[in-house]
Amino acid sequence: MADGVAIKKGALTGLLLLDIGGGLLVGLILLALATLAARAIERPDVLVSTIGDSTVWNAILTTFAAAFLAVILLALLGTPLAYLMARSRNRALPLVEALVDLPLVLPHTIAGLLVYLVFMRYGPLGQPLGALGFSFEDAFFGIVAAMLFVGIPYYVDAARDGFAKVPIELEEVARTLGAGPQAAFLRIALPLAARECLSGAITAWGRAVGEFAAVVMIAYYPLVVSTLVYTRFTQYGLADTVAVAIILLVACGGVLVLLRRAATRLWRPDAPA
Amino acid sequence: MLRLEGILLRKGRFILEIDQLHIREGELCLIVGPSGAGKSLLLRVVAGLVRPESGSIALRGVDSGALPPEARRVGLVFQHYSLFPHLSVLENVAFGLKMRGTPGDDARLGAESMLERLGCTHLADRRPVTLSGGEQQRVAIARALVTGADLLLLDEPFAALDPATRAGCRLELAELRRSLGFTVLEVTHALDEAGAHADRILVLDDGRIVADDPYVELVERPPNLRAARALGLENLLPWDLTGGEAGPVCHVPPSSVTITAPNDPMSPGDLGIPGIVETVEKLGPAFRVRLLVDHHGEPVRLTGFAKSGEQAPSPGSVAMARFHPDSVRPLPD
Repeated sequence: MADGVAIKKGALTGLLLLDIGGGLLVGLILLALATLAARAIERPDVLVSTIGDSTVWNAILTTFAAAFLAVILLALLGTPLAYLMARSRNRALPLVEALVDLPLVLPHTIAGLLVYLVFMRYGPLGQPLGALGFSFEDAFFGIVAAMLFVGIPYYVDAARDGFAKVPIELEEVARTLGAGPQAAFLRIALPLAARECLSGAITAWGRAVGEFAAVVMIAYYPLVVSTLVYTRFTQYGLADTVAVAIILLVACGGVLVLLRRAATRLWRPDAPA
Repeated sequence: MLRLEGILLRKGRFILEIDQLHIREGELCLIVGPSGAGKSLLLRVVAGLVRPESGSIALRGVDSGALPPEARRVGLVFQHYSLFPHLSVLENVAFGLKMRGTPGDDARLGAESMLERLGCTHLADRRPVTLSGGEQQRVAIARALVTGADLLLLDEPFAALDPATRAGCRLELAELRRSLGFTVLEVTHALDEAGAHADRILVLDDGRIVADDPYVELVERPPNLRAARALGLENLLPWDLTGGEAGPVCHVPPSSVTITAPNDPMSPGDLGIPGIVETVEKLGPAFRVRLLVDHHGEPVRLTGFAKSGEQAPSPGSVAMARFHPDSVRPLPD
């Protein structure tokens, strides 16, 4: 009994230490936000003029639109890939997994360089897509391409984990009940992996919104928020940069909260009907 | 109903090789064997979920080897039932009807009718996660049968249930089979429980069918050593222990072995082997007794029954195992 109490006390101390560690991390984020807010309050005139600046709102709209388009493309192209990765026993699978995760370990300037080389006017995709009317250099679709590239591992890995959690027996039973492979995927595997897919999409969207280096390599213009913040920081000074950052934080935070709420309302396996 | 011929399937180093298998309409056929013998793989081959490299599969007299699972009209129930967790019980049962083109209202009515037949109407709006094991099992069977499947493939469907629920579910399945007349191919490890209900037992060992006999025939007179070992039969003895040649293994059914006190008179012609009582188990009106007997210095286990009404032998005491030589069968490999 005494041993049990001792173990419990030990565990409690461990948890407390973990809590303190976690609290420090959260505290760091809060400290950064508070410092930013304090700086913004110092110059309310700049904050007000920035709120009325159409350049800022155009950058936010461009960023959100490009990020949403990138995530939709990721979902369309990445979901079947994630499903195949979860189900495959192919020997080439580790290679595919490494390729998918490559954007995670690349310096973002190199990711940007790769995107530029592929999508520039004479690039292997830039040229044929240019013939169809899509331009990428200093263009909206260039931003989308960069965001898509850096978002691949965030979406595909999450979706793959989701599909891997769906027992294959469920799809096998669905097949014997009359569902073809597509119906078994759409009606069984996809709904059961939807939470992870959405979670991956939100993370990829967040990553896309924050992307700077990869975007700026192919499309300095139209301005996205990260490029705008960099421009204001180098050309206008701290007060203007802080004001832009505050607006961006509120906008991004709002969208993120809405998306997370939507994700938690999705079906959960342990929820009663 | 089902005919397999020349099936060959390689999975890594494992080879499933079924020369010939014929399941007649309405039969309940059990597949038993050690883990990794290929029992579940055989079911998947029949369901069309795995394609063999060669061989033919005929269902209801029609060559079905090239048919996808959705066109084979077989029901499949796994050990953990594999109910779709995001659908209600009613939606689970209606799923197959909808997939086969039944309009929404008709599918619902069909599913309700099948649930009623299995006494599960009250579960219709529940999610699978809220059901007990027995309820999940009944819903899984309702879902498999609702589309008119006349061949049910069961992969250890009762293994996750407690013994009382298991016995009840077996009786329910037998009742359903009598009323609906479907054929069952069932993988099981519980041969003792399921054997008596079955028409035939297939013993699978290392990807091959090593025996295909009715239950009593199989446990009393196993056709070969592989089947006997795969079944985990007792009394696989060195043949020379029972007066035969040295080398081969023989089988003596425990039901043919009587355990008595060492000095009890022997029936004429009987063999008697003395041994030390290892375990005694009360089994109905008799005692199931396991002896350790000596075979050239090596202990060999020999199981038999002591009659009721006599004093039960106690562990550690000396007893005599008696049986007629006609009950000894040398087993080919």
